[in-house]
Amino acid sequence: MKRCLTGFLALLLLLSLCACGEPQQTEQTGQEPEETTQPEEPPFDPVVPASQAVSADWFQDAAFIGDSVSVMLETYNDSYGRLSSPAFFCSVSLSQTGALTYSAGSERLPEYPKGSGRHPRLEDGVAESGAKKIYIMLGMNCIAGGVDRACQDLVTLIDEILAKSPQAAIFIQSVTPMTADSPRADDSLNNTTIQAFNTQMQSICQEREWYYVNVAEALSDETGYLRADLSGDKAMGIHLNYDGAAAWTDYLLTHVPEALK
Amino acid sequence: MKKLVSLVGGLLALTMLLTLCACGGEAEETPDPAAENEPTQTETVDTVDVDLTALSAQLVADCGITDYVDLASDKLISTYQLPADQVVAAAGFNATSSGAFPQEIVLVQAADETAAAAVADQLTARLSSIAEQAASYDPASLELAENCSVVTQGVYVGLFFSEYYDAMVSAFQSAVG
Repeated sequence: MKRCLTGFLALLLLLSLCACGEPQQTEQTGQEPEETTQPEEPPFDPVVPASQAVSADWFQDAAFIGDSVSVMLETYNDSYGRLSSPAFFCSVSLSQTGALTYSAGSERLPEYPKGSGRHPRLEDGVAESGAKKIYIMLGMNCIAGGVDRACQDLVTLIDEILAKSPQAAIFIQSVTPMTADSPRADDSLNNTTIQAFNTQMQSICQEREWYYVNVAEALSDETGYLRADLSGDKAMGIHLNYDGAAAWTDYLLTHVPEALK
Repeated sequence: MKKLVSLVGGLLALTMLLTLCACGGEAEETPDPAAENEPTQTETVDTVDVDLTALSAQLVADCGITDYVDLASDKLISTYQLPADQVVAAAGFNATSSGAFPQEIVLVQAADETAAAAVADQLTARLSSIAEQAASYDPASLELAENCSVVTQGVYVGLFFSEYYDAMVSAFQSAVG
């Protein structure tokens, strides 16, 4: 009797052990998917940080779109070639609002190719250039009409450009500030409204995963005004001199996304 | 006999002398009418090429311009749509100004006066483009563009979109004769 009881108990113990083993195996299997889950990617940071300078050739397939402020960068590069030979689409009074309305051939649109006498719409000219990196600094000529409108028009313009150059990377350059004694500054166009535009565009860049190149920080003094020693005009206090263009170029060369190097 | 030889030699020498004198006299006495219209050696100064690069630098110095960038000949030709095969030399610079538009100075030596006229047309078109852009943006630049006409002197053409227009034009005209 004792032997039977002992054997029965041993059998029961054995069965219990086997039964406990299965659930553990099941629990272990259930845990495997959780261990292989990829960590959540951090949100896209549009601000391009400083890094080791790239060579001028990196800008060979770039395009620069801008107004009279950018014209100085273009003429500087024409002489020194520090950004190699990108395509420039810069004209003095250009704005995103204007660019959306000007017809092809308008003298207010940048000439492209240079020396051709042609003034294509920006999206067509950029597509023709084959640019893969599109740098844009626009806003000084339309912020006075409202920051929201200026931002919306810039987004619309970029969408039109991307429609014809879908593989291009977009780089929004912060609009540069005005000098402390700028005669042009008024209630609608001043460093406060310029900064508001830049801040809003930076936010849009995060949403749209466009790069944001904060050129303005390279040209500003400690109070946020355009540095007097980099200013090229007293009439408006907006445009750069060639030292300013050099500083701008230095910034561009040292602020390239690692992912695109 | 000896006297005869001496006499013949003397006659030959005299003849040679007279011949030389005659040749010299003919040149003086019968000048080629066509030659009167051709510049003499001292009148060919205007055919000597003017160093436009040096002239460009002179303009910078004379006007006290400190913030400028030089532009290479090939860049000038492409930017201003100049007829490359008709341009002998080109030099120029851009400089910051008090307005929205940088100063633009372009100096060109064309192959001949016909080419110079073509160059002048292109540079005038550039001034018109500046005026078009400045019309609704920068009144001072508009006025400057309307007052700064392109200057042509022989085969030399100059664009002086600058507040120093008068001084630059004067220096240009003095340099190219």
